[in-house]
Amino acid sequence: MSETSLRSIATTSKTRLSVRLANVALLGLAIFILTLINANSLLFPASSEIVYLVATALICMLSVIFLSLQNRAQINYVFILCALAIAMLMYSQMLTQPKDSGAMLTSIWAQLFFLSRPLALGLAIAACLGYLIQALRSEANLESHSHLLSLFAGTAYLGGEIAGSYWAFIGWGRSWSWSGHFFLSALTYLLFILVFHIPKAWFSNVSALCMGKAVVLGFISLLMLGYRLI
Amino acid sequence: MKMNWLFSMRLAFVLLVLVSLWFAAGMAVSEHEASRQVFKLLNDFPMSQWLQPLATAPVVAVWLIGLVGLMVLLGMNTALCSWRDLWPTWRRKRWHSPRIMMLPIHVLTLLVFLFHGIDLVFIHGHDSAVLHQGQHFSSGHYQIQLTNVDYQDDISLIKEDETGKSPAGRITRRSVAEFDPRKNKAHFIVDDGHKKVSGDAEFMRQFRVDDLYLTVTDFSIPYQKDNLGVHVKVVAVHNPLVNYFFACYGLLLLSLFIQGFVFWRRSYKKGTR
Repeated sequence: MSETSLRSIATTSKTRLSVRLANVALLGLAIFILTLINANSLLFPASSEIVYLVATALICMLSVIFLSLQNRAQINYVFILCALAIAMLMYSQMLTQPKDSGAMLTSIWAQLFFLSRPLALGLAIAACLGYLIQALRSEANLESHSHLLSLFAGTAYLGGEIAGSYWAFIGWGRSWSWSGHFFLSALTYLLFILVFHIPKAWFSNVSALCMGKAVVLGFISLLMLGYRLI
Repeated sequence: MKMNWLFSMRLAFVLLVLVSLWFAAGMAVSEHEASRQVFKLLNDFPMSQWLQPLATAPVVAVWLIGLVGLMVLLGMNTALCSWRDLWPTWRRKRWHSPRIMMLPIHVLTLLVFLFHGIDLVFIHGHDSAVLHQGQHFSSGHYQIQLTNVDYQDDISLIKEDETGKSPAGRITRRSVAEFDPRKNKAHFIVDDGHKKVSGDAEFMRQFRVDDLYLTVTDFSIPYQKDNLGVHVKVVAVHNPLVNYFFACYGLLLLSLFIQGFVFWRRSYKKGTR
């Protein structure tokens, strides 16, 4: 083996190690921030914007922790995800800490409903980025990872919908209602379903299909972030 | 005429896009105050009584008819796709197929659609009343009496002024220091003509008698009615299907987790992870 290729392998190993360290450090930081937020509240403030962002960053980091980094594209994938997590954690620190604990949060179903959103969002962001890199670099080997993440994102969202439905039923006697909030929930869930129903025949190759899925997941992520933060 | 297009996933995709757009349109419609009021009425009445409010809001009526039409088409497409493409995996007993959980996922989704439809036509709608201690009201064949109110938080925060507003505000906006749902309860006696059953209901903790669910949605002291004590807003819902509905949702969630596990195991074996 030539000296150049040996040096290249050593550099890749170092990059892999540093990206993995950043991944673990950011995961730890997100958990630490959540612990601090919880320490200041009577009840865990799952409905607050700050928890929404920190939990989303945490899930982004958790979604790649078990991904074995086999190639340069996968290292870049984790690196970009780390950068996004840092951005979310930094932005979360500009938001005001929740002052009071809402009475609604005494219900475990309300807590599960609110926590399902960042869970689904974090997974959707990670899946979107994975599909995007797969579309641009066909050797990335991220398709099945992204498929699994988008499946769990949809499942987490549905889980939250069920918890929210039950919370609405025990709180107001109805599991759903004709209102903008419920229409948005239905719309978002349908978009998650759409990711798995994109007809392959409409795309010339796998990369184009991955790009299609990345676009839908990107739209879902922007929708969820925008609705919560703007 | 060939009807193959009804079975296709392309139609499913188109319908999913259309329903998503329709819900987005619904969000825009519900932003208008007049439409929002009509939607509120739809929430309170069963479908048989919708004609009158919908006659005053044709945009909401058109939106609703369009939604029902699209959902029926999507339901048909899901059923036909499941029968043609997913059922053969089970019929041939290919238990190791990666598509094995696709059938339960689609069938359970259809059942959830169906329960929403039944809920819409027959069940949606409820009786509600604001009661003080000793008062009663009827819902269906049940007589419901409020026998006691155990309110532990500061009652000055729930005293309403002449406009109906209180210092603590809406129940959904109250902090746990102002109102702790776990401390405050109402005691009811329910008489169905044959037997009397008594029990407590709290905010977000219902009192159930057969298919009747009593939900406390607010505690308040109405303007100039301090002498009657804390009033309780109670909602009576008759819903024999609710447990089946949530069971379907739970099974759907479980099916999706199993599908995730099946996919993960397959990709792990193939070395793509």
